[in-house]
Amino acid sequence: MARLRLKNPRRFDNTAYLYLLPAFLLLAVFTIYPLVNTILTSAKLDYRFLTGAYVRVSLRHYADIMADATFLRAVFNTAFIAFVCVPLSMLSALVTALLLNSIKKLRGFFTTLYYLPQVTNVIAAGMVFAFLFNSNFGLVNTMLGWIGIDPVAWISGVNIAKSAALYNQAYLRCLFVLLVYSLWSGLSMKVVLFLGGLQNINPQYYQVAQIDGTSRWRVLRKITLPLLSPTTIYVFITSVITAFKAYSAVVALFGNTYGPIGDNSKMMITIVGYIIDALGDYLSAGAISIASAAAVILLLIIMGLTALQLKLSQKWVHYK
Amino acid sequence: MQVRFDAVTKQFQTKKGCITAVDHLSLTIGSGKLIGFLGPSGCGKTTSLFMISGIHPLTEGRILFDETDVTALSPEKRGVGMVFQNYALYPHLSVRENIEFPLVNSREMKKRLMEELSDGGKRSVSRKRFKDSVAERVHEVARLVEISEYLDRKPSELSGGQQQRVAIARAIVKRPSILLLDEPLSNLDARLRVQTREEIRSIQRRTGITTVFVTHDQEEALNLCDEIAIMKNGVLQQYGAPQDVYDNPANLFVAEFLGGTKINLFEARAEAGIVFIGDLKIRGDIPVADGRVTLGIRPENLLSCAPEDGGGLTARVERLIRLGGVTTVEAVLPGGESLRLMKENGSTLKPGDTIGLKILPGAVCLFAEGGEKIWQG
Ligand SMILES: Nc1ncnc2c1ncn2[C@@H]1O[C@H](COP(=O)(O)OP(=O)(O)OP(=O)(O)O)[C@@H](O)[C@H]1O
Ligand SMILES: [Mg+2]
Repeated sequence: MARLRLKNPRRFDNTAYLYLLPAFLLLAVFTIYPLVNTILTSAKLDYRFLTGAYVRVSLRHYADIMADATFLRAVFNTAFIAFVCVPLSMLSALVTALLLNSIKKLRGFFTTLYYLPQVTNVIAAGMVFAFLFNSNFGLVNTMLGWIGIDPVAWISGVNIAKSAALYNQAYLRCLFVLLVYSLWSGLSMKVVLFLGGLQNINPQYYQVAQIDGTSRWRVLRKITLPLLSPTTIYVFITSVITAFKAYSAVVALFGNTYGPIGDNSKMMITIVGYIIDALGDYLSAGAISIASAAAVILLLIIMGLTALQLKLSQKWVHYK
Repeated sequence: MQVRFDAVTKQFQTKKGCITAVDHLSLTIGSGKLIGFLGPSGCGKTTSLFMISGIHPLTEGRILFDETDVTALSPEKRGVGMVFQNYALYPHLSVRENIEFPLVNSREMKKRLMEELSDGGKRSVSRKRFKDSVAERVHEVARLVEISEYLDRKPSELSGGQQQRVAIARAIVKRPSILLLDEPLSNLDARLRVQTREEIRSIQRRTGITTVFVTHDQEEALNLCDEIAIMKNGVLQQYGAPQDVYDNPANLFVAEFLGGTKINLFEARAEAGIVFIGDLKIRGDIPVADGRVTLGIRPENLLSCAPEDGGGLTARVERLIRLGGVTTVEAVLPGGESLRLMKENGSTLKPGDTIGLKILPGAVCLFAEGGEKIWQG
């Protein structure tokens, strides 16, 4: 019998490095270099994009950002999407998937239907939503009118500068519109993923439960949900990371002022929005550094969350 | 509890059409008996079990437990315990949680337990008392199947044989009156198989539960069961005590399916009450119409003797096949038909020898063209 001869196992390591090189080069040029550069830039005081000149190394931009009300608003809005919209849309996706999984006829049809938002352009869909919630001729207000409710100024901020109370009310309405949009747009992918997870569960577990007379609710709680947990964790991790990168949805709903008409506080801005705005200002001293610092903060947040979720998933997830 | 199939038919509607998995099955399983469903893959064994347990509704016919018609009863009301073909233990639960699952998650079972504990409602039962009694029952069955030391492990941390026993424990913790085992030994190695087989037998004896045991391994069925039902393509071929079915097969399929060394089959013909293989007269004076028949003789019913004692029946030894303790002799008749017989201990047969053959009384089976047996003697 021919034996594989491993005289010098190290040789294999070196060949492997050679094969990895192209991928590594791409990674180095497009990920590692920008990453390091961003971190460096974020610490350069009065950095000028055109000349590359800067005064000295300093962490002042970080302090500035932390004190900037707009940035704090961006963090809050982003967290709202990640920790309110995502769980709610996961819940509705799970319920939808459970229902879809329990029907035999038309399952394919409904699955396709639910998947449609996924192939729709975000900006277009967001603009349609903005139109739905238009105070004068939006469909939502029209329908509210049918049941005798006065038009609501969903995403228009007339008069909001007059008092903090009016401002906060407008803010709540905008958050609500954002939530509805997130539920709709996030549903498709999650339903498909959950449906896949559900169909992966061995039907014998349900037959055992049936023989044992386990009630439907117990089956769901004690069998389906635990066995679905790998999918749930996966959906949660990816959705939260996507949520932290939210930008286009907010622009589509509220325009590039990130707020209702009449608002100039960038009410609905997100972290990525904040970074992009700072970048847009690249000619002024320090703007690029501010964008870099915000990007570094975003990176840290996402890394921290991922680490936390991985740790939690080890405890909760039941892999076979 | 006695289980009766009364002309039961099960059909599955699939995209390609209608599959009849079980076809007019009528069969009575005696109370406290261990019976085996035996047959090749796809013959409807699992489907039959699923119909007893209530998972599959019947297309036609009735199923009765004792005298009660349970055809329309839901699975939880039937109170059967079942071990699935691949155990189906919940991977996320410990062995203990797996075993107690049917006790604590079924309203029906809880009610029954409560009634037992409260002496039919006379005494109130505290939460703790209920829990203790569940724990006690879990320990009791764990001891019975000898898995007490693994109660806190996950199924994935057990060997196949241990998982097997956990599955049995989960099925019998409810104290069902019927236990269904779907090929429970198929995932075990040969030694563990025999050992677990004996364990199942002894558990069944001790508990007296009416047990249906599905297998496609005939040795298992012959060794273990009080009675065996042999199925083919959803149709029951024969039902009876293992030895009886083995000795008196109802048709060619059963004769061929059973037996460690395959039954010898010959193209034969009947003429005026005499049956011939080629020119060799095998038996005379039999009430069989003239024509072609298949003649079957089990190898162990053929004895070798001196050529002149065979009454004209001789054969030449071709090969000896050793298999552990037994040696099979392959020989050919003068007409070229090959046959097998068992070598007796101490005999000095070797290839090339000419031997005489004696056929034991009752050992010759004649099968008609369609496979049904027309005569044996
Ligand atoms: N849910 C189902 N839908 C459609 N056809 C089915 C279904 N279950 C079983 N069948 C068909 O019914 C027939 C009998 O199946 P069954 O599972 O009872 O066989 P089996 O005797 O248990 O075989 P095995 O030894 O392989 O487990 C097979 O032809 C199978 O394809
Ligand atoms: Mg089967």
